[in-house]
Amino acid sequence: MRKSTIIVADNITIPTYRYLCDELKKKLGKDIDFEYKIDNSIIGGFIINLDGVVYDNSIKTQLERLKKHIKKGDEA
Amino acid sequence: MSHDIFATKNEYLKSRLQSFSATPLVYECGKVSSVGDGVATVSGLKNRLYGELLEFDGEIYGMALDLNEDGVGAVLFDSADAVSVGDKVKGTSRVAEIPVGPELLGRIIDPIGRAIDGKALDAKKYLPAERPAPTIIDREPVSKPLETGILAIDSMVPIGRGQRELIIGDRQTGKTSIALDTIFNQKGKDVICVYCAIGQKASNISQVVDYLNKNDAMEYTVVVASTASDSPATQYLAPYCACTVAEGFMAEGKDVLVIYDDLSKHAVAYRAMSLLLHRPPGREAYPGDVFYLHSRLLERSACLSKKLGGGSITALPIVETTGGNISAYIPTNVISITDGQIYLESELFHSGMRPAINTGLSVSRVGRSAQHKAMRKVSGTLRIELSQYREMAIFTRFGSDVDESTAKLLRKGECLTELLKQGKGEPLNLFKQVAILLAYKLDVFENVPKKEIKEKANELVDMLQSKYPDYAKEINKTGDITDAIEKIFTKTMLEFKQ
Repeated sequence: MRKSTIIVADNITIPTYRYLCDELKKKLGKDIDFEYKIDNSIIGGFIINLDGVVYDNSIKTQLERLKKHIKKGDEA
Repeated sequence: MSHDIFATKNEYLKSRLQSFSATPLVYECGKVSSVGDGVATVSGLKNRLYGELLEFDGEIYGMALDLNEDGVGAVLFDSADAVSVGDKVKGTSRVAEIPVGPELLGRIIDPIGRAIDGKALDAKKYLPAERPAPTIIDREPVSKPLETGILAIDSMVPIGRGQRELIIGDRQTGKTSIALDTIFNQKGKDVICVYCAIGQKASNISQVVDYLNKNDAMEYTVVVASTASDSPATQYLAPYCACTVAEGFMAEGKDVLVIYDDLSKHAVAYRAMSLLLHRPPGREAYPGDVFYLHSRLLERSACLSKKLGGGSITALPIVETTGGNISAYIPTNVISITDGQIYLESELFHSGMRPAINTGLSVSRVGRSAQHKAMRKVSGTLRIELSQYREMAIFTRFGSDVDESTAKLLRKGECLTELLKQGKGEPLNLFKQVAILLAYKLDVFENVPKKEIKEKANELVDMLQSKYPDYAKEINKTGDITDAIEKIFTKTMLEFKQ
């Protein structure tokens, strides 16, 4: 079994979480053991860490990226 | 009015929001397993590039230099004490990059590409610090001279655009002064200068910048600075970054002069880094690839073909020796890589010979063909005459009886030595150099006492300049002296002698 952590905020509903795990298993393989962690600082969305590779789809990171994107245009 | 600004801001925000795509971030993430002395080992990063930038927690950057199966060894660029074991490390999938372009002129940047002169830097273009050197087909032989404004160099060890000429000597012999005077002399000659300080004292760098500012030389100069307190990784990266900045200008067809001050400190920084990364030490504890360290840097100086815009990078690396020992490891390495060297001696320096160039040990392997015609006409036999004089001067030091021809040789040699003396910040243009050497050839200063030779020479040059300003302009412009002008000058000089 490969181990993977999923970081979510506590506003996620259990059915959504289950749906997420099922979809991920379909994509990444059935032999994955998911372990969840709750971190409210990510606001929403999820972060998966599988074998050292991180898939970051959290609201917090997207907001940070958006901030940088708007600022970058400022300089030009 | 305010409504307009609001409207444009609104428009701007809309366009920025439209161009943003909320795709998920995918990156490899590792953990710091040990850290110390500016080196961190990171576990979990398996698919990284050599030289890739790594982002540690708290926006601290490092560079991956040792790639292993289960992780990487990385050197940290700054604030190594802010990294601790267990911190997360992100791979960025890009190697160290540096801004290039005309926005950099007059600026001081560090090797990470940040401006350190307190002003904002908005560069449009970035290039990686490590880049391959131009290939054989991209190059052309060196054919245009790079005037240093220093008579002893321009006449006897001439430098061409695209050449690599090493400046070597003990500490406090005027190595940096020669480099700075060369930058100063490029004013109005359409040459961009890059001064790279590697592991220098911050006070020295500020002196250099001050000197350049005072002489209005900053407007065509970029300073890449890493101080002695910067991490070895930053110092290691500095010359490559300076070269990339220069390549940015070269690609636009410009002639660029780069000064690496100095490469012995660069080698020391690389040695510290390598030892901390547990690479096996070799001679003088330098790692095995210390030759390649400098050869790959200096190979990037080139004279590009017309097809590629005809730009060039001339490199003046500086190497410091200890006790005049030019056969130490790093000096011999760099001597064999470069196209010649200017050797400065502390004995000459203290005897009042400035610049303290030892003409016997200094050579230029490609510069001769790039020399101005006028200079070639008047400087042909200088080296031989000077070395004959030096030899004879030692020979006759104890005896007073010398025959007439020897006495003449000694007197002429003494005169030449006096004429080659030149203060800091007093560059001579081509016309002045040619005039002085022509006067020496005609033995104009035969009856002038040794102490007054320099004064008389200045007087003569000023007289020629005011009498024949058109000829002076012509020589500076064409780089050649016609027989007619030479005849007129000869006549005037012989009159001056009487």
